[in-house]
Amino acid sequence: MSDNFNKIFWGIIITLFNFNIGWLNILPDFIGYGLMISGLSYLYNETKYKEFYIAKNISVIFFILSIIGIFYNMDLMKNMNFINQIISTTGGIIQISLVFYMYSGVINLLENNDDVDCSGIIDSIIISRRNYVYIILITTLIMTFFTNIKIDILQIIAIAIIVVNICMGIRWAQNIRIVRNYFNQNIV
Amino acid sequence: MNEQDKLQSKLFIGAIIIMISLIVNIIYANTQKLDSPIFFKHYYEINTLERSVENIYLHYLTNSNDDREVLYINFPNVDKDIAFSVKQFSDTEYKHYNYKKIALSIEFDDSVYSRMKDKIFLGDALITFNDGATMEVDLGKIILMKYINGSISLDHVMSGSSSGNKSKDIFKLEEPIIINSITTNLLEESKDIINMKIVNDDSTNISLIEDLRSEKPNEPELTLNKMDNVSLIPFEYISLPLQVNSAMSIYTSFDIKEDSKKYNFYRILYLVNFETLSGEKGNEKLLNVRYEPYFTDKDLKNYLKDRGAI
Repeated sequence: MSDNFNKIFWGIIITLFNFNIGWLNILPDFIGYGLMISGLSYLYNETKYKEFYIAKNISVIFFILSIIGIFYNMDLMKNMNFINQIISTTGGIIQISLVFYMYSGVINLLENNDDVDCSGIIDSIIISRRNYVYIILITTLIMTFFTNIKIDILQIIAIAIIVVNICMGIRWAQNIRIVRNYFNQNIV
Repeated sequence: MNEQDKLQSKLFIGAIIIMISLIVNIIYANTQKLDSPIFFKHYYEINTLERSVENIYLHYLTNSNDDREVLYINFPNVDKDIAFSVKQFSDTEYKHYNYKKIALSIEFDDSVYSRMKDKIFLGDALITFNDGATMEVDLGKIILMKYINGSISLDHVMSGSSSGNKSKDIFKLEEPIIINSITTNLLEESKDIINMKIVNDDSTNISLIEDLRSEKPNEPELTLNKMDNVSLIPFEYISLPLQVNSAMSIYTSFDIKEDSKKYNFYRILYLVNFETLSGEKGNEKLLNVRYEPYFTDKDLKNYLKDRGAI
């Protein structure tokens, strides 16, 4: 179990950050989503929780999109056209769904685990899930105004949104790591 | 309904709100889009005395994602031997538009200049962009003048402009003169937007400039601050002829009330026509009578609405 949470943890880290040597991205996003698909597939097969199944399918969508993204550079700041905005907004909503269902699956898994008390971890993840959904919904809503915001203000808001998204992503990875460590220590 | 289901419902509602907001924003942004760049109207008088003119600034608006540059500018109604060149000068980003400035330069060779009429009118232009696209535009009224000096001239001590589209020309006189008229080729376009004041026998400006030049030779325009205290009157009320004995300062400012003129660009070359008491005639130019509008996002939107561009 902990191996699969480990895969998901590294998958999140790879999709959050770009690991470049010069111009070459040595760990492109599709590798991260591939690791998530692998981890979530195992968790679904083990538990049959529909949340893991949905999260896995969303990861498949992102896996395909990230491969397309290698050939189609979608830089929202430089190329503020409507298609890019629709893609990025839709991507934002799907991303929230991925995190929501992954968190929900983990909460179900921990709630149905009677071996060692993990109520503290569950409470923490419930709060993280709620915060993630609310905060990223708000930032995604703000992004919909980008085509009608002056570029210098837009840049400031965009940077703030990127920082918020990275912080929320790190928290997500941190929670998965806590769950990995929990299974590593208590169940293996 | 447990907490997960509640949060799932909120996520669903949030997603719908986001998509509605996205659609509304895209529709609104689309209504603000220009079909093609919009050139402002320019009313310029340009002196071609030196057979070349540089940096005649022309201004236009494009969509914010339009990064094309103007490559050529041609005036179909003008002698083909006059060489026009253009370079992109600046680019200011607004909410939906880029406000761009290009610098037009004109070169005449001697034969062209010698057969050139007193005035050449530039208005209708053919613009070529660097993607090969062309468009016909009305730039306003740009007059290239073959300006000829009068037989006598005045000692033009200083000419300068300040913020707020004000200018001041200071003259020192060798002998008394009578100003008979102040003329411009853009009289119709400018008569109700210019305020002016001739301060007769004003030697304070001259002594002030002389003091400043000796103290700070590189900052002669400091005296322009004094302009705020001078009250100007509409150009048509300037009473002429007027005798001036030793020195004079001529102040001008733009006072544009009509929206249709507020966003035009002006560069007016007034000619002060005078004669000495012995009847010798001369003229002198007023330099720096220029007007450049200032825009907010709202101004641009109103301007484009008035032009029927959005």
